[in-house]
Amino acid sequence: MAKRFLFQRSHLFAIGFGIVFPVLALAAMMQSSGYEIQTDSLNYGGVSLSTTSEYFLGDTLGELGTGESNSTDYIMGAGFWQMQESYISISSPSDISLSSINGVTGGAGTGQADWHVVTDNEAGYSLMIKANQSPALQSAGDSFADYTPVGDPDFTFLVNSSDSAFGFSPEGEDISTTYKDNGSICNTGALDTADACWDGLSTSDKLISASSTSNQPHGATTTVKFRAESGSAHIQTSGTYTTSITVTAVTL
Amino acid sequence: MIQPVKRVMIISACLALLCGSQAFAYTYSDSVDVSARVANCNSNTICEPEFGENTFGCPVDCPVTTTPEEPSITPSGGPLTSYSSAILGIYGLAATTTTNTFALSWLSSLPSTSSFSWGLTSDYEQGTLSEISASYDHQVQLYSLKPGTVYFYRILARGFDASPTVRYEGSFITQKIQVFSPANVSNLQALLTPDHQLNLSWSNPSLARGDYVRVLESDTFYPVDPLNGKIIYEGRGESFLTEKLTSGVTYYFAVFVYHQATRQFSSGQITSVYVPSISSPQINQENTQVFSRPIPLGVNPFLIPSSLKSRPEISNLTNQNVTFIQDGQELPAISGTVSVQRGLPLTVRVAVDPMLMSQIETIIIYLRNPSSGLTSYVLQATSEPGIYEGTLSGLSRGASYEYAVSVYQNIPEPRHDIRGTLLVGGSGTDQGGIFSNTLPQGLNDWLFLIFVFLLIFLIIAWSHRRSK
Repeated sequence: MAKRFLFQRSHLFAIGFGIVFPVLALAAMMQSSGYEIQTDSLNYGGVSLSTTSEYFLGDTLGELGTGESNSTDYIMGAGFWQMQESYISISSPSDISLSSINGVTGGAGTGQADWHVVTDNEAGYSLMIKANQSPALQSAGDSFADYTPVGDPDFTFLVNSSDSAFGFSPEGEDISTTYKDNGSICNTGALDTADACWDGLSTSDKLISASSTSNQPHGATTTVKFRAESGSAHIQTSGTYTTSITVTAVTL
Repeated sequence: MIQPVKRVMIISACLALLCGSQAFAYTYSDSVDVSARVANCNSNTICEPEFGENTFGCPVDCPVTTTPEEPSITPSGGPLTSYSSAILGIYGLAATTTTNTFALSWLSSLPSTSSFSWGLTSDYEQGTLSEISASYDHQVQLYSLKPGTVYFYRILARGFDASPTVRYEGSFITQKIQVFSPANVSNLQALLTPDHQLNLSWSNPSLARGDYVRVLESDTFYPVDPLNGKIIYEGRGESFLTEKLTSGVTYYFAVFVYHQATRQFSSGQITSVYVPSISSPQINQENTQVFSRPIPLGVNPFLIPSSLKSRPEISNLTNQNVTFIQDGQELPAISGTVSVQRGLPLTVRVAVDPMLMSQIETIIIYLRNPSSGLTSYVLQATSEPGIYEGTLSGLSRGASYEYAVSVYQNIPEPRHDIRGTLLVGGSGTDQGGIFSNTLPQGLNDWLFLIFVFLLIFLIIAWSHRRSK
């Protein structure tokens, strides 16, 4: 009897611990070196995640004081699932026309676009870039080779006189360390030197910016500069060369 | 070993943690189109299609009046390189031109039907082509255009809805006719001195470094190429005094210009001189006598027709086979008369069946003017099969000249003469030339100016005297 009582008391204690613990977590968000619990819930039922081939469903039972309320400046969603909504947005800049390139004597065409990312995700976001084709910049009968740095991105855009190439260089407060520099070398240091650290596009995503915190409401801008260059001893067929660049922002 | 109590605590804690760590990764993407325009142009004022230069990408070297990829009117959506798929726009123009054709293709951002109008002026007076079905891809080809000529065109693109019609205007220039033969000398004259030496003089075209003049002599017929006859002069001068010539003999001369850049000789200007007896009263009366006009009767096609008939393939040649080219453009013949501009090099081209070339000994063009007599040039076979050419230096003054293109089956006969008229006039820089000493059918410009000044002076003097 005493043993059974002890068992029941242990159960009650454990259940109580399990119930109380999230309440404490709400007051002080729990985190470790690797994870962060942004929100948790005091409830008595529900299924955290139910899935079909087309839908996700999360449900809880027994929450109090839920729903949306707002003021002039803020909108508040109260309740566990409300808080689970994470927001991220990315701007949509205009198409880019690089400056004209002389295909006989050689020359470079440059252009740029700004992508502004805003997220309230406490874990931050990552921004990636890719092209729709390889090599990226093509015309009907010719192409620019994708810029190929030697190892890390090249601090300076360099093309042999007998070649042509197309590359990009990201700039901004959240750029990946790969594209940061120390004034002469990329992937080292903390500088973001203008028009430095050039890389080539591919059809796979390349990480260009990332942040581990929320940046709302101001967000962060990543500027991607593009450069196509034909060497002085290279004849680039005249025409219009195009590519479609896709930049993807993901909450972490 | 984990105690039951602890095990339940862990399960509960994990449940709580799992519930609290529910998370989805949100992904948003944006795509932009990057375009680069490569225009092949080295801005050396030479149109080099082998480098991809054309009127659109290289208007400096291949001139156009406007740049077709800069439309005069664009949709409200902005420049064509940044069109919106919701707005009808024209882009991606690509064109090729030859001496007499033009091909243009373009794309539209929405399905559209287009009409293409063209002409020599911005009135697009030469015609309109219209599509009957809508598409994104459009193309047009024009034939039988004039070489070296600027044409204007307009594209009107219409979409399905009520969006405004998009207009696109531009121009192109057809390629000039390529001339193979370098310029000849002009003003070739022969003056016989009392001791029967001949003073040959001529005017050189512009000579570059390495260029020179070669004079050949023969006593049978004109030296018809630079290796035919005896070389009596080579240099960059403009006159030459021959050795003493033999009386009673006709001497034939040809002057060729060697052009180092193309390693080619000009086709050759020719003349002939009959040397009379030393006791000729003409020589005694005058220190010198120009004998290059008229040339011996047996060679003058205007006076002596060929007594032998050429083979039919040669005698069937007509003015349809003769073309006059100036400034890269073919000059039209109207009622047998070709109007040429003074001061510009004139290229004479004779086109024959290449199979006939082995039957032709040489081709000479004779030009006759009542006051200047005869001036003659050999036409040389070019690298183009069946094409003979010669380039005459600038024509100087307005007048009418008969020409005879004599196709020699053999020398001196049989030959077939193709006759016509050249009317020299119009604009151009008067730089002296084959007719510069033959001019005044009326007043030339200087004499006219002097006359006007003299008239004004006389009027003023008369008025002054009357007022007194």
